[in-house]
Amino acid sequence: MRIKILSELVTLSKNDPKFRSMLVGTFSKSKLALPVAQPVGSDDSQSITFRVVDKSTIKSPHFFKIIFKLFSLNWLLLSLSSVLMFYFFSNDPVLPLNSSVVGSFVASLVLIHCFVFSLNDYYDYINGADRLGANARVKPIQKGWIKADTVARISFIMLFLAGYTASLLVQVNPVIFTVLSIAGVALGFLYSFKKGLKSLGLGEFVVFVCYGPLLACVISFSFKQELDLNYVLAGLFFGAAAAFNLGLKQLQNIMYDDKSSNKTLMVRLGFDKAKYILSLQLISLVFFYFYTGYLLYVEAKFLGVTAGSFLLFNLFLIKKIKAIQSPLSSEIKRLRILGNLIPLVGSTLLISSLYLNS
Amino acid sequence: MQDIKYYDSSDFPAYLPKLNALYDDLFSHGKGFRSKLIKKISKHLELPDKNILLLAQTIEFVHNASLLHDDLIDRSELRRNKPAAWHKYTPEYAVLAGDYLLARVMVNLSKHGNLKLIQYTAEMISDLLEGEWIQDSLVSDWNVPLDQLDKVHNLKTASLFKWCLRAPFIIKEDYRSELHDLLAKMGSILGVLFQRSDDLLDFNVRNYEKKAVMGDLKSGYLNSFGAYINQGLTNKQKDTFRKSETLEQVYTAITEAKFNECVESFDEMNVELIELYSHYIKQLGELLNDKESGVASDLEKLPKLLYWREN
Repeated sequence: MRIKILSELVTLSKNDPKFRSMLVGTFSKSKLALPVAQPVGSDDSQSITFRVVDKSTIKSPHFFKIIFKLFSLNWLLLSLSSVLMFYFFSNDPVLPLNSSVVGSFVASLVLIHCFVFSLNDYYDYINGADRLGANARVKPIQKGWIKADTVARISFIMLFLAGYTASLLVQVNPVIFTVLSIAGVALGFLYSFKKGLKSLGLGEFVVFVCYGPLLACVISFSFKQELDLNYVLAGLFFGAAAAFNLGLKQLQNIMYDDKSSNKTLMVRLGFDKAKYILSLQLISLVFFYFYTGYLLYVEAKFLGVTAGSFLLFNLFLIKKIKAIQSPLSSEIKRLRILGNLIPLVGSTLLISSLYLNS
Repeated sequence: MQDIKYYDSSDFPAYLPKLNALYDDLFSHGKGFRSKLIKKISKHLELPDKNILLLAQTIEFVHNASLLHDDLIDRSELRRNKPAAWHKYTPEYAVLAGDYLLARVMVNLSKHGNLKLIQYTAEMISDLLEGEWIQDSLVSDWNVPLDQLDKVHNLKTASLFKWCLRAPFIIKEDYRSELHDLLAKMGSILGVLFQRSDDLLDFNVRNYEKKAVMGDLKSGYLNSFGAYINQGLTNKQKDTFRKSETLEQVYTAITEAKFNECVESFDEMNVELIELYSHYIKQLGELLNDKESGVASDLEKLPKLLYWREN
């Protein structure tokens, strides 16, 4: 039995004038050129082979699935969980929050998130990083659901829209919001551009800052029109949760990153130490949780109960980490799904504590 | 099967008769596919006989060293329908015999003196062992996806095929990066195709030699075809599937129709790889001179042999 394949293979040198247009998808309106996956450690090849297919042969999934994957909406849980918690903490029936400001903030947060993640996917694709690794061939660009060129445009549209929706916030305090926005965008660029800070082992730090104190500052100014230090310190919990999730992702990619000289923190630590550090991070999250509850004036008895639940959840995750024996283990993927839930679990428990407190 | 004894009495110490006997057993029967591949390519490159012998010996030594260790790691009692070395002699001798072959490789290559060849061979052995290590760590991982297994096979199986394609050019001192880049990609594809075909064979697909089947699943290892079947199953089906010891039990777990459907779609996926390989063959033809062009035509036939198992 032989099957006829209806596609054309084209190999182009990276110096070829047609290379860029083929890579980003502008070479044709009816066709797509999908780079074939490379074996481990082959990202320094001077040529790329494309499989050129008719767009009509690509089976795109539902629009919402494309959006979910393109913008990595699972990571949105990280930022929205902290917003949710601070909202419950800050919203007083006597002095309610300014709904326009809050709405503007949430909208711009979502849009910034979409900008950062779509741009990150775009650069990973252009640099060839997405053709290797545990998540090779799962992103919308690689699957041919959307062209790279379109993703780049979408990401900058998201940035523009984020700027527009944030304009109301900027009016609250122009200097502060401008500075914070520039800081956030700059960190996003530095994280993603070319190999980025993540290849210097600083990825976790960037993510910790962005999802932790930086986001908490923006929330504080949005909700209270001033900088409340309690917010910044309470935000450390979410920064730590984000750093943990990034660590898990890097653990999953440790083999590929090592072979392509991408010196992430996990590569520098090595597999066993990386597992150990991740376990320590989970323990530290319990302390961060306690500290956050203290900052939110939750009574000790309520905090104790919910912290206990959070501790049990984290101990369960530590047990899963200890059981991982291989960098290619399928358990890491499952752990990542659970890891994504940490900020939501923490946030929900803290909100429950606040509710019990009231 | 044939004799793949690319060595003489000077290669191993005469005062260790058990070691010599072990090697006589090991090398007396084998397909010698890799050394044959070396010879085919080397013939077109007009390499001197001693270089061809060196390359053939190197690849058979490395391959058989890995088999000695593999059989012990897997506790396989048979190899090529004969008792495996660790079983016939002792596990300690099997380990040492494997190590000794790898050491001889380094001695012989050092005597030849091509530093790039020595370096590349060392890298190949390193990749092979890394692949073995990772594969062993995946035993009893019943959810490992196919693309992760491909990474293992690229290290373990494909590294030898890549070496077979590249080493003749290296020994000829043709170090063109675009040539070696292309040969490496071709070697990767051959390695993956060979492994996938072997994995299908374990499920009695195209098992023309009537080899024993279901060995991987029984050993707690999900091979590439097993992983491919597994990805579309419910948890209950996965549980029944992984406990299967016979094909009939596999059919009970997933139905024969589903099994055949998986074979068909797995083949379809691999036909894409074969097509990619053919594309690389055309590019290879452009990089070789007239005398060497026979390399491309010989290599073109390999997927038929390795994957479809047609002679």
